[in-house]
Amino acid sequence: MDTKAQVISILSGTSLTEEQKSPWLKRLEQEGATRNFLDELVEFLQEKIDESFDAEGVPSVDNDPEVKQAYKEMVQKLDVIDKEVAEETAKAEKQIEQAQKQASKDLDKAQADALSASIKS
Amino acid sequence: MGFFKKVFGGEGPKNGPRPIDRAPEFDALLAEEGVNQMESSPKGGASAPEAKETPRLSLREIGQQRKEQTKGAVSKAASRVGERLGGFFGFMKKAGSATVDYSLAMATSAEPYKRAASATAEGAKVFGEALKFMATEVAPEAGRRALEGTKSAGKAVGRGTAEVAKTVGRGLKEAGTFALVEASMPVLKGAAHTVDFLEGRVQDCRNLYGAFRNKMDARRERIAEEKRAAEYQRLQSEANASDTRMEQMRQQMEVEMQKRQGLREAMAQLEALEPQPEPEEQMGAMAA
Repeated sequence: MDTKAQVISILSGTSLTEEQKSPWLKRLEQEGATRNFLDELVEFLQEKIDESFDAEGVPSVDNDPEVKQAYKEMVQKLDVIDKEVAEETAKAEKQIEQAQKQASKDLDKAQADALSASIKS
Repeated sequence: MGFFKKVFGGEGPKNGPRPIDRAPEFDALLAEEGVNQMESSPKGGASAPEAKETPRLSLREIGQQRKEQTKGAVSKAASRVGERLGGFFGFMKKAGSATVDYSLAMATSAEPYKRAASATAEGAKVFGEALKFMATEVAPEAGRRALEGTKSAGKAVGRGTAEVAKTVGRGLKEAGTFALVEASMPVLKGAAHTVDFLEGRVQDCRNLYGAFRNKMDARRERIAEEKRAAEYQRLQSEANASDTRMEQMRQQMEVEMQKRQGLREAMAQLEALEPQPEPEEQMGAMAA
């Protein structure tokens, strides 16, 4: 079963109404089960869960100390990732620059060698 | 500017901010992170009625936004590296084609060698004719030997010249290709590593946010359970609470809980799927 068919099967197994499913199925047909589509669909399902809590009168947990701590930890980890990405990008750019310089040098040398060989013969 | 400030500076959430009440501790947490400025200033001056309502983001929305922005930063870095790599490979392609052109030029310059070879052969022929004359007419034995020797010498010179031309051309081509391959290898290896690295970081962002979202969700489910238990107890303590009413309430809550569980399972299944390529990736693959 391909990804698209799997999404259809997963959606049909949920408690979503036909009205709620229909726009997603339409989008799936148009853009395919891309990463972006899957991310947005997951977020939509989370919204439905949150709405269910709201309907039951369960308060938001934004101010819950446990959640705030989890949030803080996530932010710290994301900052580490950001730093790593910046370092890796700088490293890759430097490597490209160096290789480009080396290639120019090697090419010049190859041409000079060839010229010298042609003169000698 | 810190990353957090950089990330939160300016843009609002995708679907517009949702006004909610925020506890002072949360404001303190945001202040600690340096994001006080994220609250958009009310437009129309302080006297405008809407000025009193400051749009606020829920923790979940902030988390989502933060994840998106980090993911965006990672993608941007990937595309920056991609552009640089594209530029590099463009350069290498140009350099490669210049080398090939140069090799071709050198191969073409084998023409003088060919001409020399042919002239030598011609010369040998003329000389050979003279020798033949000598051999037949003047000194048969000496002439024959000289003729044989000249023929061989002519052949050798011709063959040697062609060899030199070929060797120079091939040597240059090999030297050029080798230089380019040598220079490209670390970049190719580095690029593969960078792409893996960036993809890994995007996945890390996704996992971190997923874990955070699950924690929030689990916490809310626990609160819902506590609320359900309290409600059930309250109904039980009521003198006129019928068993039917309590059973209805229990069933309704059970159904809601099961629906949420079903949605969570669907979310996990969707997250485990192998996504199809984005349209631009498909076009890129086709172009490649």
